[in-house]
Amino acid sequence: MTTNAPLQEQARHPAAWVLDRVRTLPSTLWTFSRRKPLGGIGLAILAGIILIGIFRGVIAPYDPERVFNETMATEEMPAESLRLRGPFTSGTVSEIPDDAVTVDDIIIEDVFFLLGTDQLSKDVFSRLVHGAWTATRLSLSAVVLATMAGLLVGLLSGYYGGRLDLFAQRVVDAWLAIPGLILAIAIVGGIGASTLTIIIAISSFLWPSTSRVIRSVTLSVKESQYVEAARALGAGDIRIMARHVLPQTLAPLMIMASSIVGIAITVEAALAFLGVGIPPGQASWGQMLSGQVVTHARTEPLLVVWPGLVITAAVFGANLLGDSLRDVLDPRLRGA
Amino acid sequence: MQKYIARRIVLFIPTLFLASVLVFLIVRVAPGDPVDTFFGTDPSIDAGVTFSQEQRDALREELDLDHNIVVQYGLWVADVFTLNPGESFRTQEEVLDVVKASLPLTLELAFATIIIAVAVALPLGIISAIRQDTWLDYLLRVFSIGFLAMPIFWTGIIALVIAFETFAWGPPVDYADIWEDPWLNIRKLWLPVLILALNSAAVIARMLRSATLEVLRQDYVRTAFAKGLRERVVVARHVVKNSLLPVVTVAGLQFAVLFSGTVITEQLFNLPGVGKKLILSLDTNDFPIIQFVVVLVALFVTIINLLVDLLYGYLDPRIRYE
Repeated sequence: MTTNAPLQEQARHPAAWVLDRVRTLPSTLWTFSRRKPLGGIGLAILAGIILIGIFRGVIAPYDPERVFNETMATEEMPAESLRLRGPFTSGTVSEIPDDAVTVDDIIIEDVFFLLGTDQLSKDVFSRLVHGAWTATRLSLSAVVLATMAGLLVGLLSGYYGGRLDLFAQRVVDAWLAIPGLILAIAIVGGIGASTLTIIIAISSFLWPSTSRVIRSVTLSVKESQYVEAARALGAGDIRIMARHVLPQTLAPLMIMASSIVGIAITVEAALAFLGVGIPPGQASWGQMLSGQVVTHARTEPLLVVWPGLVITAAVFGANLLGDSLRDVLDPRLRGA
Repeated sequence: MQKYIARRIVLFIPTLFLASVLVFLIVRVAPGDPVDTFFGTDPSIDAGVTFSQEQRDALREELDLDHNIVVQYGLWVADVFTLNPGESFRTQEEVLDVVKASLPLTLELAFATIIIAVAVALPLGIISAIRQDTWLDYLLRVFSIGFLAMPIFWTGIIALVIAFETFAWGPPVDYADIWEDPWLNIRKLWLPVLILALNSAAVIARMLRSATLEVLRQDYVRTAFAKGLRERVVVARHVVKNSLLPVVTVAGLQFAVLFSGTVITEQLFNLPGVGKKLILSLDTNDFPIIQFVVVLVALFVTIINLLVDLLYGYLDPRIRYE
């Protein structure tokens, strides 16, 4: 594991170290899943979502924004039946291309809605699949942004200590005083809703707690004898931070990252529910649970069930993974 | 202890100051002119009504936007401190009146939730720990991780649908204060409180479980077992006291999280609380209300954190002499 990596290993070139980690990744993941089956399940769920997101074009039968509207209705599928259909609906729709001249130019298409259609007659399954990509992009960006900011502040604050630390920690305190969702709402409300602002909003309340964790790791590593030895050998601050402190923060960062994934997905959904989520035009799970859908919940409960289940599964997976990572990587809790 | 209290309070002031700066910056320095946001740059939005330059200037002056940013902040803080946060852009109500009217509901929601959450979490966490790795432990853990994973508003929608379909029950349409009409108040609030509480209980129970496991491995617990005390006595008298320590912190932190939760439940169950007001003001760019509500919430959270710290110092002497 990355914690307590032997000295000689760290003394090697960092690139070689990273390469080694990448090469042994499959076997590391396998060992991890064998040791912590629940963590393996969590990992599988998250990996599944990412894969579905990447291959959304192949998996989703339709464009998530495609509206199967009245003009497409055929005798078999009258207009009103294209909205709010239950699962396993099949039939035909017609489409008149712009350059259609004769009746023969009308395209007749067989359609099959695995999970039915929503109140705007869009295919629910395709939207779920494309939502996986939105969730992946959103949570990975939030992970990168929040951990980088948290790492930077935590590392500098813990390493240099003194006034810088005192000030940085008060800023973190202040930041933590504003509840996450409220901070996110204020930011999105102030700047305007877009995928980017939502990523910023989510990361903005996740970096302070990350920086706290990194700071405490830095504080303890700073006092260790090998850092003292490195300093005696003439290593500068930057070198000590990069070569000796940074690798030790990897384990807590991984634990934080998996919880950030869960929080990012939940908050995106909550923002959408409150009407300040990702603007229409891009399928997201939160969006599928917001606005008009809620009013249809009583008559079409399944419409609400699907995205909710997917969100729950994703967050559940992230939590399972985070818990197991903590068990494996944090020696203090080993056996507890 | 006095030194400890003094140190905490000294740290409390800069935190509050920085939090207020943060709120101010987020709301005020967002890109775009607030006056434009208010009137709309697109005249067609206001159905052909265009606003004169005088109207714009008047608003600018009222918001103190004609000063530089530091002066703006100073004026705003002075307004907040003198409890004179101005009036709403849209409805011209006093912001203070708006908050006074909606805050009790949110606080009631939050306190009821914490009490029920702790009441549910205590047995869950402790039983889960003393029966570690049995089917009961697994069941309780799946329950708590599951509740953590479900978005609050989703649980809420599903609960409403189930309540309606199976019991033909829906929350009453109107709302009354707990002092005015307790029965109506309870009928309106029990479901949102329950949903919020189960979510918080999941967090607290998980924390309590790991804290209890840690305490169970202590030497003095082994001694207690060794001298022949029954499990019930060991747990009740020796274990719980110490494993409850971290729960104080988590329950306090949950309070901050709860404010996020109340925004969602107030929206879903149509409760006229602070959260509902906040979302409403956001839709209409009602800056005075947004700023005051957010800074008030930050004040509450900082005070709760301070109290938690003090309580923790009182309960655990090691903290005091750190």
